[in-house]
Amino acid sequence: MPTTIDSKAVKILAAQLRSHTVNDERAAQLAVEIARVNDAAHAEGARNDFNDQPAGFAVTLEQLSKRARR
Amino acid sequence: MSADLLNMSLCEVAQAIRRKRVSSLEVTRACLEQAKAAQPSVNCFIAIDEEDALRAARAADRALKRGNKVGPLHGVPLAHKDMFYRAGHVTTAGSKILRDYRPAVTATVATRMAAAGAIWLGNLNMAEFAANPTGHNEHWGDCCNPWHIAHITGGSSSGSGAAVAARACYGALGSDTGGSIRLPAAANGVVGLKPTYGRVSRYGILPRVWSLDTVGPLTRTVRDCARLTAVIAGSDTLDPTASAHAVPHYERLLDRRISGLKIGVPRNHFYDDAAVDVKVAMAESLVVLRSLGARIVEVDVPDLTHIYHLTNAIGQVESATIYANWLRERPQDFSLVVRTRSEAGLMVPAVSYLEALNSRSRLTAQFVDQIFSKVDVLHTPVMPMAVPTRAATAPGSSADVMDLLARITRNTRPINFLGLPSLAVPAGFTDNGLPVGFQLVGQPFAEDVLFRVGDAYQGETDWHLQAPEIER
Repeated sequence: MPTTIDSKAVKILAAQLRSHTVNDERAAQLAVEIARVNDAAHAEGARNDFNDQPAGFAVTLEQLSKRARR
Repeated sequence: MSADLLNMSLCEVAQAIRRKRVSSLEVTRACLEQAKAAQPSVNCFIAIDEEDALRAARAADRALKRGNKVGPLHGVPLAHKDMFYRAGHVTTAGSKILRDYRPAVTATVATRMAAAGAIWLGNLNMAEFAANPTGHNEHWGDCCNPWHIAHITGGSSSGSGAAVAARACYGALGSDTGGSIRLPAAANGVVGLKPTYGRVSRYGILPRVWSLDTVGPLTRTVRDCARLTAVIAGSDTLDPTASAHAVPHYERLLDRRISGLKIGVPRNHFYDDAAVDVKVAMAESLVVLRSLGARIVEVDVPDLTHIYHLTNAIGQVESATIYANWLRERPQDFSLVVRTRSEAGLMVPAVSYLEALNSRSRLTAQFVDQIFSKVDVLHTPVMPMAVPTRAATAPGSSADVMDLLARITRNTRPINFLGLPSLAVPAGFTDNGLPVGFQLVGQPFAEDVLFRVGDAYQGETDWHLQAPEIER
C-alpha cells in the first residue's frame, strides 16, 4: 500500500522529533520525498530475508569478485 | 618549456623527475604558476600551499641527488578536494561551517601519497559538504569549467576535475558518493575512477554518506589513474570498511589488448532522454573499441529508478545524521542544496533506511548476474546531456534541487548503491564545445579490467591530450 503522509504530519514530526522547522510549502515537498523513499524501501523490505544485515554487503562484493575470477 | 612540462602526464613527469631530466622544483613552480593563472577565472583552488609545496619539492630533489630510493609519485605535484584531512591543516569541505576546521588526524590516503613522494600543492574547491553534482558553491565561489567558464564543472569534486584539466596539477583525489568523481571527470575531459566500495580507505576524510562514499583519482590519462589507485588502495586498520582484497599492480596489466572482451551497451535507462550529440560521442567511442577487437553487446539493465530512490533513502538518512547538530543549531549556514538533500532524512523511518541497506546485497547480485554473465564491462554516458551552464543549473528552490539532482546523476548514483567500480573516460566534445565522457562499469574489484579498456581506448584517441585555453 503506497505511503501517504501529509505535510501537517511532516511539520509535526520535524518539530517534535528533531526540533526542525519547515514551512508549509517545504513540508508538502518533503511529504512527497519521504513517501517515495519509504515506498521503495518497503517494497525491498518485503523481499529481504530476516537474515540479511547491512554488513553483509561487503561480503557480497568479495564473493561476487571471487566468483568472477574463477 | 612550461607548457611542455604541464602537458606531460603524471607518469611521464614522474619518470622525467626520477631520471633528473627535470627537477621537482621546476615542475612544482610550473604548476604553481599555472594554478595562479587559472585561479581568477576557474576558481579551482580554495587554498594554494605555495611555500610548503616548494619546500617539499626541494626536499624531493635533494633525496634524488642523494640516490635515495623513491616512490612512484616522487616529486609530482598533486592537489586534492578540500575534504582530505591533514592534522593541523585547515580543511573546509567547501563549507562555511568548517571554514576554520583543523582536523586532528591525517587521512590514510594522504599518508600513502606522501610516502609515495607526492607533493601537496593545495586544497581544491568542491561543492559544499560534497553534496552538489554541479560545482556551485555559494561560500567559496563557483568552480568554473576551464573549457568555458560559463559552464559547470560538475561536482562535487569540481576543483579536482577543473585543476587537472587546466594543467594546474598532474592529478587530484576526489570522492564519489553519487557521481562526484565521474561527473567532473566527464565535464572537464579528464579520467576519473569511482572504485569499488571499500577499495580505498576513507579514514580521515569528510563523510558524506558512510554506506556510499568512495575515494578515487582524477587524472589526464588512464595510466596515471592506475598508478594513483595502486598507491591509495588497500586495507587499513583505521577503516574497517576498507577491503583486504589484494591490490593488483594495475599499471603492469595495461597491455592495450582487449580483443574478445565484451562491452555491454544498455538498451534502457542510461540513454533515456539523452542528447543527440552525447549519443553520437558514445557511438563513436564504441567504434574505436570495436576496432580494437572488443565485441559490443546490447543488454537490458534492471530497474535503476527504483534503486535511485533506495539510494536516496540511505543518503538522506546518513547525511542528516552527520549534519544533525548543525541543522539544529545553524541551519542558515548550509546552502539550499545541502539542506534540501538532507532534510527528508530527519523523518524517514529507521526501518525503511535499514530495509534499503539490507536490499543491497540481493540487488547487486541480481545486477551482476544479469549484466556480467553476458559482458565484461558496461559502457554508458556519464551524463545524458551536454555540460550545462552555471546559470541554467543554479537552483532557485528545493524543488529545483531534487529535479536537477535526478537529471544529472541518473546514470551515476545507482552505481554507488551497487558498490561497483566505474571509470569515466573522456570521449570528445558535444556541440557546445564542452567535453563528454563515457563510464565503464565493472564487477566488484575489477578496476584492472576498466583500466585496460580505458587505456586501450586512449591509445587510439587523443581527447586526453587536448587542453583548454585558460581565460586570463
